[in-house]
Amino acid sequence: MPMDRSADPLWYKDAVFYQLHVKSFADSNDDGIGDFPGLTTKLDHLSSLGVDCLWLQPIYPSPFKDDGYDISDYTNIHPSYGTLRDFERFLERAHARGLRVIIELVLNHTSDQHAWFVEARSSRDNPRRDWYVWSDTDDRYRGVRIIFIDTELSNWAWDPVSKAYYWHRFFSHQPDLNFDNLAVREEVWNVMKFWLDLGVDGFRVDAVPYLVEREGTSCENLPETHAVLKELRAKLDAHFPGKVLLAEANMWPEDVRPYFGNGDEFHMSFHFPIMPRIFMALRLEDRKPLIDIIERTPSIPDSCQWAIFLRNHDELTLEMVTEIERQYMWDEYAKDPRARINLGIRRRLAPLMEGDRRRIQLMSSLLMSLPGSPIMYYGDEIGMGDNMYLGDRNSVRTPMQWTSGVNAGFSNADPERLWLPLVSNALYGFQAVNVESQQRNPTSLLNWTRRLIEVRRSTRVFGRGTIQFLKPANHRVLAFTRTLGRESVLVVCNLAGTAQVAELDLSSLSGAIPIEMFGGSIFPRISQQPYPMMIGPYDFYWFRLRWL
Amino acid sequence: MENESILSDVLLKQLMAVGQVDVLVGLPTLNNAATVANVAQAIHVSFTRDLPRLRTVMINSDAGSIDGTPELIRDASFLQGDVVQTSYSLRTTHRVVTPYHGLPGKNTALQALFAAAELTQANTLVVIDPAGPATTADRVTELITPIWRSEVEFLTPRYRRHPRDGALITQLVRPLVRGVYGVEIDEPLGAEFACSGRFATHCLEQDIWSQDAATFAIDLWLRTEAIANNLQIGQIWRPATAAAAPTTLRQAVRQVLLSLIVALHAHESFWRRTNEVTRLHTWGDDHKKCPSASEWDFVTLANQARGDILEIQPLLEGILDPPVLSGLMDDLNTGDPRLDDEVWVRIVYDFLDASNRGSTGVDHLADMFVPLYMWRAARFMSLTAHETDDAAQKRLNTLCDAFQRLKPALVDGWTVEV
Repeated sequence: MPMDRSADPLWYKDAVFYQLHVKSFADSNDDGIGDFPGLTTKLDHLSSLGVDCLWLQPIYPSPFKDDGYDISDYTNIHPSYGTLRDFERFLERAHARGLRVIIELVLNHTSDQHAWFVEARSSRDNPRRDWYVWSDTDDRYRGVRIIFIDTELSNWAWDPVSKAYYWHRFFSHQPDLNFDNLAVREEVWNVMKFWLDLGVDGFRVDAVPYLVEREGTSCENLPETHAVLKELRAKLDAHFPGKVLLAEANMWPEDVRPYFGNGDEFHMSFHFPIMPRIFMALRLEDRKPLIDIIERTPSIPDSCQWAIFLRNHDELTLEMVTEIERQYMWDEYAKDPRARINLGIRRRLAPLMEGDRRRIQLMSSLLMSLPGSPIMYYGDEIGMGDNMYLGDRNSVRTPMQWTSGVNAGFSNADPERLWLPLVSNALYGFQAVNVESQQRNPTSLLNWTRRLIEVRRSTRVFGRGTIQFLKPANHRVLAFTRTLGRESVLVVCNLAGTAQVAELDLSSLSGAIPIEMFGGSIFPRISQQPYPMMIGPYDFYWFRLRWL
Repeated sequence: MENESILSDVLLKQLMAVGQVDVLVGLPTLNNAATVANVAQAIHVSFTRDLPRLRTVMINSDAGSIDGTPELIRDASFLQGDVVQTSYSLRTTHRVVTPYHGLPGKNTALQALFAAAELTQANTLVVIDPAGPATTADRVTELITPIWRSEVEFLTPRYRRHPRDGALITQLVRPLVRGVYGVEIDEPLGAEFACSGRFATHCLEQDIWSQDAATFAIDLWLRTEAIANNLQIGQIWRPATAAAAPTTLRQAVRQVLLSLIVALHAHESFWRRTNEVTRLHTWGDDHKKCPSASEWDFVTLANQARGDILEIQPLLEGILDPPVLSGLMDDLNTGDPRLDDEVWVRIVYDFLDASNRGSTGVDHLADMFVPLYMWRAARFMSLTAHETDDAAQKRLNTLCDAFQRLKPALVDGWTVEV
């Protein structure tokens, strides 16, 4: 029976999220850049896909030196994407379809072209001077790591205007805000309030560990940073209950755990290390990496949730793996050196799976069945490809492929004017891979993905249930149960490209009848005896367990 | 009629879980509690530290130990002192501990391991000596690597021996294999080896496993089978270890001769047309550290051998060529054994030829051969008692040459119609 999720304050625990770039989704004014009116016309696609919440990449005015994460105005829309009115109209239509929307909130820093920084650097006496972190020397906070080691030599940059150094943990064109300044904290809340008043359902908060600096520390994950975040959360709960904060902290789960606080800090946080291990487990045909990381994941407050994903707008990051694992991943998934960037791989899901429909489906099934709320990346529902010849991570940010027609139905601009060229190769090009053709094909990946999400949404056990691994002797078989109250689901996956057999110890579930969730087939009743399971290459089963 | 299966159902079930592997390391054991935990740990570290990407399995095939050997392997914690390496393991590591099916004996254990290698489609099969006190992860990896990289298809250990040590090897097996098969394998009886999965499958198909010879000579048979099938063979330096002595000298000589007979019969078409001697590449480090030789009471040995030979002299007349027998008798009548290389080689070849003629049973031949070997061994020990190591080694090399030079005598005798 469908569940009414609209009034549930913990809606994010059951939600399927969908991440998209406005500029890559649909262009309504033929300028080659996606916009809100265009996105609005595609809400039916998102609604029919079955996702619950859209996560929009930065939508703010920005000089775009960091793909929009360098914000120059927090209370407006980038003109290429439309107007605030366009955004409001989009939000209204999304909500009308039961779709929630969260947007980016970059707290740690602004663009150096933001009016706040322009004022702050204009003179040492400016009232906004203290909104940023300044120093006459570059020797404060010595030893703090530099994040972008390829481009930055120091966390301090010299400002020739006011003749002082300013602190930046990311690019030098992104000065860090000074969260010791109460006015900054107040203004950040005002920014949040501005968007919440418009109706957004929450924020994906960028780069959260770096808000506050203290001498003699790593300037990361400081108690003072947690205090700032708790303060914002308290205001959110007081004024806008039911909204969500999602933390971006690319760290080990035990290090991310404090960002949940006692349920009074972030509602959600990304679980970064699980992602490469899903890919690793599939390539190794061995469940070990996946079980290892989930078993070392600490428990979190009941009101909190992990966010898990397969691919996103960045590279498939390999920061949270060992050196041996990283080399393995590069060798197996990035044989072409062009696929490698920073400590990761700039490829989409389908090419990483070599276009193998079975593997794509298995990966998607894991995304939908492991603990946490899944975040899908736009285009993965149709198996879109990438373009490694584009710079930076633009390989995975190419325009959405709607049709096999002109510009893939993304835009009516001249093809040369598109902000990024379309993928047009024989394997993944828009002529072969597009929404329109897959809508017409009942067995397409798109329709299969719709069904997958539908089945996931049929129970809360995937979003809220506990997990228990079964660990049959055959390591190629990943089997686990998800349990919520009296409801149990058994998941069995074959990580191998060959048929496998395993005997599952289901004695604790003795008496239950497994009912396959996609087709409703009834399997033999579970007894005290080992439960034999034969499973085809890259196949998976979800069973609802019923004691009847 | 239903054939008796090689693999027990318990092992089969475990192999189903293991699935396809790249490397299978077998550990055939019988009461090896003193050393087996260290050996098993070395294998595990090799897997996790040196071969993290490969699909690996260690299979202990136990012959019915009563000292807790299987339990030691099953329960061994590989975390002790090994935290770093283990933490880098990419894959699930499998440890299969199983008693083997069938009659006790190394051949049965190996047959089970070969069958496991076939079922798991192992690219590389390595058999490790569970009594090896010096087995380290490095050495396990060294054994695996040349096969895994397809540099060779059979890898056999090579030990730095004192020239007066291991007389059965140096006086009989090594020179005979070198002379007759034309390959310079130092240790045709070595307990450890590595081979390709393809060779393991080939061996499984041969009609050797149920023969008596397999129970005591499987190591020799494997090597000669590899040679006879023109496999790329290599050697690898191993540290010298104290030789296991499960049998008496008399038993050992019997077994070796019987195994040589079996091998020669099996590979007749190969060795009869082989004339050249192939040198083998050797991997690993030769530490050149030569253990001292054990002391022999060669006078007692010679006296015992002389008495035995005189007793069987009439029987020897049906086996040895008259000039060979005459040379032997002359030698017996001197004070010291002086059985020279040529007479010794001809004795060996005459015995092997006799096995082909079939007029004397091979067991009986083996019994008669024992005192002759003892006489020869005593002669070598006596002759080299006061010689330098280099001089003794030179004699060993000369003996190898003699086996090769006189091979036509073996070939001629083998073809004689009775």
